[in-house]
Amino acid sequence: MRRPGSTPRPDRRRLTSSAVLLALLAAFPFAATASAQPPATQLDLLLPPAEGERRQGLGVEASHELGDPLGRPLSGAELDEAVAGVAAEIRCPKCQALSIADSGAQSAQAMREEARSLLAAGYTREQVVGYFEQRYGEFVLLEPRARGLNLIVWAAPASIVVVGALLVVRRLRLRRQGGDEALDAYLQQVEQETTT
Amino acid sequence: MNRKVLLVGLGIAAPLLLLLGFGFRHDPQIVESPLIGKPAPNFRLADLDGNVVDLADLRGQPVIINFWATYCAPCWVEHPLLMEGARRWHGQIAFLGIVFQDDPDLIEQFNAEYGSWGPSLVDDGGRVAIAYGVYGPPETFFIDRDGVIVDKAIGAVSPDQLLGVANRLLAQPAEATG
Repeated sequence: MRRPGSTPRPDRRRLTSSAVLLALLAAFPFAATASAQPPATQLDLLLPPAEGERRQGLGVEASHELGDPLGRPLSGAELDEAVAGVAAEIRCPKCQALSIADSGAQSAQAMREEARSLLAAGYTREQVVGYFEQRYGEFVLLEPRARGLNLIVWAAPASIVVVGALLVVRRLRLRRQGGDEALDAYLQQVEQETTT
Repeated sequence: MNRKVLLVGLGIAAPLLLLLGFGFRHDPQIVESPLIGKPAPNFRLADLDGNVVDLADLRGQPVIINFWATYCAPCWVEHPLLMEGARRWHGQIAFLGIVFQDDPDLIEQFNAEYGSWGPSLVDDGGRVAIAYGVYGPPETFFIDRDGVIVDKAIGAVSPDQLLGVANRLLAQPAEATG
């Protein structure tokens, strides 16, 4: 029989598991801001002129990690598809909640054009996405990379499901093994005392 | 409450509260630039009169690059400060303005009315803004004599920041540049 004033075991377990779940849920917002800086390199590259550039011979020469193109130059429908793929991964810096594929902002349009010129020059999807990440930081990626604190974002949903499943299994096993014997005995005693 | 549960709860809650406190000290709108400490992307741009500026030609001299536009209110706020800075450090620090998604005619009108603290370079296609990872105007990049970005201001640059970084840039020995 349970002593008056004592905490029953199932309640303690419930409290602990609730605290674990709360902790995992509370960690979500912080994981999104986590970022790791890409290492610096000294590679120079003259980017190809963008479409619509009015003054010839002008442009930007960026020092970044692009290096040589690792793919083959794309064109036509293949290029359109590759641009759409990259654009879907990149956050619009002006609107933030939209990808540059979905945004009509001028910045998004400029970034789509930049992606197009790089892909047409033979840079791979990874290189182009990496270029934007080097310029704007990891924040520009709509899907944070699975590393560092970001791992919480990736691991938390699965962890919650696994922890929940374990708790359910444990509870069922306890019940099957007669884990509620004390409670049953207590209820039986109450019933006896109330009937007499 | 059971002491063990209390300790477990505190063990979980305390780090989260610390993390929260750390998070509240930062403006979520401000994203740190990954370009700080890295070489400034080089560019060749023309101003409104067609005069071409090549950033590489300015190597050996500190450079302040400001992305701005006439539709941006903080750009109006910081304009007198940049005018004063360009006057005070004339010949020591190069001030370059890069027009961010604005009509060159409006820029010309603005300069005629309020004065200009440096060339207003036209960034056709916004490629230089992308190379510098500009989210929106105004953003100011501080470049040392070696062509390395040492600091960045998001929003209207403050007098303290302008003065502090300019002094730091000027303190770098000219002969130490490579």
